[in-house]
This record gives sequence, structure tokens and C-alpha cells, in this order.
Amino acid sequence: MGEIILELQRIKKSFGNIQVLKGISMTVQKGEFITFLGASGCGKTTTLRIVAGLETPDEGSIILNGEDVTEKEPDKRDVNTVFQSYALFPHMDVASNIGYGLKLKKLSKEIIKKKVSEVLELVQLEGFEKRRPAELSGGQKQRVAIARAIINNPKILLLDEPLGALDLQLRRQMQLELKKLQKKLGITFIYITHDQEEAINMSDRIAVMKDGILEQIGTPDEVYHTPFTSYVAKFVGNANVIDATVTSIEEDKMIAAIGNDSIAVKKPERVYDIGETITLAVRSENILVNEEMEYSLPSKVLEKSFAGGLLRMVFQLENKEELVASRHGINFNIHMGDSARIGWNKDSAVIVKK
Amino acid sequence: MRRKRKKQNKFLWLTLVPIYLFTFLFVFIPFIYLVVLSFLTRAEIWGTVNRFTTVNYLRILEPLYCNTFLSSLQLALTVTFFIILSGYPFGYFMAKLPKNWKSRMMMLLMIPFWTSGLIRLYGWIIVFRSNGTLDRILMGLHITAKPLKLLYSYPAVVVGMIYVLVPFMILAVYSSVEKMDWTLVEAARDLGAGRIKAFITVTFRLTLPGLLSGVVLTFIPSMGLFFVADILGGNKIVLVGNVIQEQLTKGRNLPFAAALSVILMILTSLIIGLYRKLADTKELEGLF
Repeated sequence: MGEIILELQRIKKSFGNIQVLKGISMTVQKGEFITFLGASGCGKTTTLRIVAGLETPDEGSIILNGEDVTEKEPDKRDVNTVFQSYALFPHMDVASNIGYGLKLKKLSKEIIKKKVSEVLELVQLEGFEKRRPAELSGGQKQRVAIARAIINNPKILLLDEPLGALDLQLRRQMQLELKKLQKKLGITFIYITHDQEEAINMSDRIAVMKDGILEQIGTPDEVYHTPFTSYVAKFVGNANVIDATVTSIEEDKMIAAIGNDSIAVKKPERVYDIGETITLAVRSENILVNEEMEYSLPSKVLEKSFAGGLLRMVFQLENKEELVASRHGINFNIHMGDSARIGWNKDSAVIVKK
Repeated sequence: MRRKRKKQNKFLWLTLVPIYLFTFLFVFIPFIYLVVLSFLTRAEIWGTVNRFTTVNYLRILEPLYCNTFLSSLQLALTVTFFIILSGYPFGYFMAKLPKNWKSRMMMLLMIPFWTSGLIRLYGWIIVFRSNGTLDRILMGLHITAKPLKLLYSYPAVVVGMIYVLVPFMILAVYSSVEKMDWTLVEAARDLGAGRIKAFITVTFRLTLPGLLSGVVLTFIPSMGLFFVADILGGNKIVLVGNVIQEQLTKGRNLPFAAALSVILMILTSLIIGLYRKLADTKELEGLF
């Protein structure tokens, strides 16, 4: 693809005794929309703050547009941040907030005024120049925060859970708008969220983080369909993760045992030994129930519930492990306490790292 | 809903009665008494005669008393200036200390209040007097050759006033810096402001109300702290407070002391009014 705009090299950072980042290395391409996805405390915000210059890494370097900026102060870096709390200056009106960066660059009042009204139009807040942050709604504050950052035309825009405080409907709308805005401006976006749907909807690539480590970087498709680790499978795909033991390898498939029963997996590229334990990830919509299957597992229905257009069923295997299956619609002839045979197509099981 | 609320309001005023009663008895009535007193005529030996006169106020216009007001104002300005210079950074850095150090600092700041301010001021006499602590240190370090004779001088009074009043500024600034949202400073840095620029445009601007209330808390008392001028200034430095005290005790002129007090109160009210206007305006435009 295009040229590299940002490179993180083995970034490590500790706060007190806690190592928050354990060696993050990655590259970001120009014009890319990349999302850091992870649960709270995984180090995604710290990574972003290190890129912004608000934290200094203990080890490693940050290369921005070919230049090592590791030791540079935040005001000397060509990146801007949209803070989670918006961080609008309460003592300035909207126009002064947005024009703050340009004023520091000593641009003339007329130019600032013109640019501010342009960018206000871009975020659909025409005529809000004289309002105070306290007089704005959450969504409006969000737009002002974005406008204040993009007016400086940064190399990279950093967004720290910018939609976290908004209600669901507004979130969806802002997701689309942000994506459109990014396309229009061509600025590289580094986005942080703990919401996998948001990440999948908006990103060109997703970087899944856990405990200060990058678990996987890839397109939403890759991360969703071929997770590398059980964490990615669970967090992004809401997949079932289950251990199995390799029993035999056939021409087009591998047979593995779960308890006393066998199940098939697509033949992997790597060679596995007989008796080796593997971890399988199967997304809930790919779990087959009481269908004609070559290999299947006996189970009992533990739970059946309906939410968000999806029927969710929990099955308990004979070894007490639980698997979740989901279906669209409400009609499914199965009841709590029933016995059922469950399984999956060999192609829908992915072998992941534990 | 509305009706319910009205019902509640019916008895809500009862809770305010003690406050109003206290204010009425101990602020309003004495104030009226003071104003009335200031228009009465002085009796020949002691007390007052119930005869209306404006002579007390006219007397304030005499150069002697006018100048006292002016020099009090000047001293208050000088003192406040140095209090801002020392108190703001103190309060600022105190608020940025780690939590356990913060409470230790607060303790150190409070301990002097356990002793009478008057007695602590006598301590300064030991420091300032001829061949006192300060002189000995300065001469020991060969900075000065002979005693500076600082006691009973203007600088001694200024130092004494700063000493008495600076804690109020520190606490006012501390509480407003404590409330600062530091993400705002990060945002300013992120948008291209250097450390100093970010401090001026964001931190200082947002803690200005604290500084202003510190100014009110120090400027107003520094016009009337007569005992500081008495102890450290001898008879050389005369403030409005000293004149009032003298008229009340040695001069036995109650009406004139009352008139001086009323004028002093009007002056300080004007300053508070000015502060309110400054603090209430949401943005101090043209300040930066």
C-alpha cells in the first residue's frame, strides 16, 4: 500500500511496578484508519498518549513521518488528539477553542476566522462560534473537539474513545460521519475503542491489544474470521473457545477429541502431532444443532434467550464445557433441558493460540 | 409536581431563620450603630452627645487623614503584590505535590495558626532588631558591614503583613489549582502550546478566580492590620487601622473612629464589588 507515516518500535512503559506496555511494534500507513481494540487497562490509551507525546516510553522509539520524535514535546509533534473527555477550554467560546492551534501559529485573525467557519461547516456546526462549551450537548462538544484537532491538519489524528460518552443512536451516526470525514480529509486516524462493532465498522485495520501486548493486527475481516489467539476470537468474534486433542490426521481434515467424542477441523498448514492439545475457536452462528453431521457432540440445553433479533442457546457438553449457539429469528424447536447433538462444519473451526 | 414543590417551600424558609437572625443581630445592628455613631458629636471628656454633625467626615478630608488612607492603600498594594508573587507559586506547587506530601504541607501551613498572631509577630522583632538574627546572618556572611536597623521600618511592616496574610493566598490558590482539569493543559500542549504558553492561556486563566479571591482575602485586611504596623513599624508607619484604634483609645473620639471605619468599609466594599465584576465576567478579554 502507501507510505509509512508512523512506526512504533518495541515500546515499553511502566507505571510504578505495573508494566502497561510490554513491547509494542507496528507500522501505520498514510491515510489509514487504524483502531486499537481492547478491554480497559490493556494499554491502548497509553499507546496513544505516547504517540501524542503526553507520555514518554521507557524503551523503544516512535518514528513519525520518517523522523524520530521519541524525545519531542507534544507541541512539537504534528499529531493532534481528540480526548475522551473532549477537554474543551471552558473559558473560551467555540471559535476560540477551534482557533487555538492556529492562533499559536500566529495566523492572522481573518484567516483564523475563515478556517474556523470552514471547519465548523465540515462538522455541521455552522453558527456555533459564540457558544460556550457549557452550552453544548455531548454530541456537539464531540464535534467541536474534532474540529479543534483537524483544523491544524495533523499528520495523524488520535481519537481516544471519542464516542464513549454518547448514546447508542448518536454513536452509530457519528461512526458513519467520522468515517466519511476521514475519507474526505485523507488524514491518518488512530482510533481507540473497546467496542468491537465500532472497530469493525470503521477501521481499515484493527490492532487487538491485551495486557500491553498486540495480539493481532489485521483487517476487520482477518481479525474476525481468522483470529490468531483465543482472546481475539472471544473479544472480536464472540467465539466459543474449546480445547481438543488431536487423534488422527486425514487427507483433507484433522480429527480431534473433545471428551469421549470426536470433531473435525480443516487440515491445518502446520503439522500437528497425534495427542497434541489444540485450542479451537468457533463463532456462535456457526454452531450446528441437531443437523446431519459426520461428527457431533452430545449435549444438553442449558439456556435459551432472545435478544437483539438473535436467539441465543447455551449447550453443556458431557465434560461440562459450555458452548453458545445463535440463530436469527425466534423459531427454533428446542427447549431447556433437552438433549441435542451439536457440531460444526470443519471449515468454520479455527485453531488459535491459547 | 409543581404543587408539591410549593408545599415544601412553605417551611423551607424556617431553616434560614437562624442565619438571618445571626446576621441581623451581629452584623446589621452593629453596622447601623456604627453609622449612627459616626454622625454624632463627641462629648467633652468621654462618650457622645446626641447632636447630628458631619464634622467627622469632613475631618477625614484633612490632608493628614487623606494621606493616611493613601499610604494604607499603597502599603496594601505593595503587600498584595508580594503575596501574589510568593503565594501563587506556593499554592500551585503544593496542589501538584503527591497526596501524602500535600497533607503534610497543609499541616505545616496550619501549625502557626495555633499560636496567637500577636506573639508570632514578636518573633519578627528578634529577627529584625539591631544585631538581631537577620543582621548577624548578613554580617556573618559578609554581605553587610553593620546592622541594617530594619526594625521599625517600612520593609519590616511589609514583611510582617506578608507573613500574616500569605497563608490565605496560598489556600485560595491551592484550592483552585486542586480543581484544575489537567487534561485541558494536555490539550493545549497537544494543539501546539509550549509549557509557558499553556500555563498562561489555560492554567493561569482557569485559576485566576482563586488568585482574585486570594487578593480580596489579603488586600482588604492589609489596610487595617494595625497591630503589625504597631509592633514592627513603631510610630513611623501609620495606617487607617492605627488611626481608628488611636481615636478609639487614646483620642477617645468614638464618632470620628466610627466615621473612619465607615469610610474604610465603603472602600473595601468597592474592592469586593470590583472583584465580583472581574470574576463574574466569563472571559477576561484583552488580558492576554
